[in-house]
Amino acid sequence: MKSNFLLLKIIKPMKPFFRKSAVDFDQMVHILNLKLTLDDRKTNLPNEGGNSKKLTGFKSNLLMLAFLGFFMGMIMTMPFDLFLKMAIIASMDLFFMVMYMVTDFSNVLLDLRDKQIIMTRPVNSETLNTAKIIHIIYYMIAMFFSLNAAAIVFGVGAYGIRILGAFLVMMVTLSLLVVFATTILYTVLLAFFSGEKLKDVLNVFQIAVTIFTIVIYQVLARVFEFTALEVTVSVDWWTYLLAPAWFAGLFKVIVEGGNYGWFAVLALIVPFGLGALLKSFILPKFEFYLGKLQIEEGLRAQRRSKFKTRLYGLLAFNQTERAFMWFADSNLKRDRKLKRMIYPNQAMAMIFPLIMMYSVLETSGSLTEGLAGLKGSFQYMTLYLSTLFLTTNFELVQFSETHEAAFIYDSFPIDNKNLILTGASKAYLIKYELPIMAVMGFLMLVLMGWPALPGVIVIEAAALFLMGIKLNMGKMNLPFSKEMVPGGNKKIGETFVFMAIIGGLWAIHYFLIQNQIVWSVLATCAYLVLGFFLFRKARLVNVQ
Amino acid sequence: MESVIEIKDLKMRYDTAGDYVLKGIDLNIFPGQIIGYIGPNGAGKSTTVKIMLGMIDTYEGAVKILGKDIKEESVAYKRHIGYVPEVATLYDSLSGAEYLQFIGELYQMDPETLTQKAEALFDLFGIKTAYYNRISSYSKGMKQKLLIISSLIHNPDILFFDEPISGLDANSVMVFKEILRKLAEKGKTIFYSSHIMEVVEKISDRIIVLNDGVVVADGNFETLSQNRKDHSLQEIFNQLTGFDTHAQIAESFVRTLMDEEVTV
Repeated sequence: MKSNFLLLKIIKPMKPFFRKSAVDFDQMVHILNLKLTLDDRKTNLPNEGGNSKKLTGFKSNLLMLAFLGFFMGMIMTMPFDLFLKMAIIASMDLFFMVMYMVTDFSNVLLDLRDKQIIMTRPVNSETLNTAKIIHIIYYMIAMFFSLNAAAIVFGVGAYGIRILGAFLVMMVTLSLLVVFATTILYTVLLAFFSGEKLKDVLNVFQIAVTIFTIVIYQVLARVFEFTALEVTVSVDWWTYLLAPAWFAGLFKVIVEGGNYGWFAVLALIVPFGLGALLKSFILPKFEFYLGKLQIEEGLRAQRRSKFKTRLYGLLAFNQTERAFMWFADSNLKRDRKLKRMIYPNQAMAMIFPLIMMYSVLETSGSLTEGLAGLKGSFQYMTLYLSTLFLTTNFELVQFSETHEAAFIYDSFPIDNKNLILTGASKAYLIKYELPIMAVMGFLMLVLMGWPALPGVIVIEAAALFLMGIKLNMGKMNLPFSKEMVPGGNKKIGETFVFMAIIGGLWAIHYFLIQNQIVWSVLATCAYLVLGFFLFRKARLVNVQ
Repeated sequence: MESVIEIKDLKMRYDTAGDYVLKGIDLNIFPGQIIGYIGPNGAGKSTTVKIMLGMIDTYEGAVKILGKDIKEESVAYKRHIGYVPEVATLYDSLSGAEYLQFIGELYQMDPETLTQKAEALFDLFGIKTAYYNRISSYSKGMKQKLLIISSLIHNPDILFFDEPISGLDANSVMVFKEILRKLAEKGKTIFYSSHIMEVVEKISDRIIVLNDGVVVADGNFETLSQNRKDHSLQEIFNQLTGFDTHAQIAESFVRTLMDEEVTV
């Protein structure tokens, strides 16, 4: 265990301050050292970021936040009111800090191992709790500076050194607000959910934060294209209810002076008020609920829906394949790590067509003009982008949290292992691909009108055809049989192949099919028939 | 003789409105004893142990360890106890060496003595090569050995073992049983909780049977078996806990498998 963490170097000289308290300083340092080491070794959530291979856990998170923070900081250089700028920055700070506290840092708040390992040793609870609090404060400060480093630099450039003081005040009060808000949120979650159910809820938060981050990346980069943006700040009574406005007011008061005093007062009072509330009402409950975490409630017996049973029966080639469709269905529903990997990737399939269309809207002056321009256009072909993501994402079903359990493929009498893969692909189509394609197709119809209908149907059929191709590309392991590794779970090479294929399909569509009924019917039939045969002869290269 | 553990009218419930898990337990335990603490699932064994370890402090009644009430002096006595939990809870991303170093620091042991001792113990348990590897790479048996070492490294006087031999191979079990005997000879008290009756029967000086939150039997194996014709602890256990239907259940189980008519 290395022990040269920066935090420990800062803490160690503070020993005299702890002499009179019940805290055993040396033990506390050891516990902090342990916590920092564990943070350091925690493998990051599996994502596709290439750089996460070298950096582990906490540090890579900080880098990501700093990168986001850079775009946020650019706001400082833009020509509008400081109140609005800070409202935007404080909202982002609050969002990301609360989300990371909830998802990533939950293991500090909820670590049950501490109770078993540390509390059974001669350590008093004050020592352990102080270590936990210092750990959290350290985490908050690090996150705050990663998010705001750029904003501070640009801010000092634009408003002078006084803004630095404002940031320091905000660091304290905003961090407090985040810790209190998170603890209260957790207490509420713990009150309603226990054990596994709580983990499911946290899983949803994790997925949400990942998707939101992706969207923010896309949107932030474009914010600066709003050159003609005119914003007037108007303060209504409800503005006082918005936490980011408090901090924005604080900045106005410190940096420019003016009549935002009440906001600044709120920014100072609310965090401390929440703290008092927390100490006397929430924390006692929190400890009690924490005990509930170990209690497991049984999943309620769930019947398979009749519709799905029929659908699966209809789509499966035989009984073995049907069994594996259900198997994949349950895995895709229950495997939290896998969901954390798949959902954000699927979200891209929904986001990218919209982003592409957005750039069209932008060139056409006003929003109404742009929307009118979409009517009858071929912009629905951005759906091909969705098929690219959805087809290549199928690769992710190879992975599983419990990949060791794949021994069943060998220990059960399955003579045709390809059925395992085609079964999984059908479950994937029904659970993920087709619903997304249907929603996106519907959206396109709304935006482009009925003339787009034949074209949209062609693309839906093409999606099935593409999955057929994917199943014949080989190079895949059996579903749920591979360990997830942080970074680089999807193969880039294959994505390029599919880009080429989909480019070809797009060209056929654009130059030949267009919106003509006859061609559309022909193409749809061709894709479906080809798709059917490709599903039939799907082969796994990794299985004899 | 002075008792090392003294429990008086211990009651416990997890929910202020709920039923009692422990319904008034009285125990006196003396040094040098190996106590087999047995009972069916949900009888309250783990709860009792967790209370003695200071992991639960919402109980009613009094618990004294080494003469001190553990509610009043909740830290000092922990220097003299060791614990192997039923589920192997460890900081997986540390190596065995780092884990023990950390534990040693909590006991304020000298790092060098600790390393020497730990390495020697790893060697004796036949897992020397794993000392510097991450715990996440350990097998179940290796994790169990690490837990056993970490519960003993500070030379405690009282030991709480909850299924300590699960995952150990037969040879290691033999070694471990012998270790228990030697420790008891040195005056250590061992609180041994398990579901494996054969082992409890062999090693225990005194057997305490807990059922539904109360002590239903307390004494050495001879006294427990005296008034009964039965011979094994297994059978005594079944009788004490009012379980006599194992044959019928097994019969129905197999019949169900074979699609025969079930009569319960």
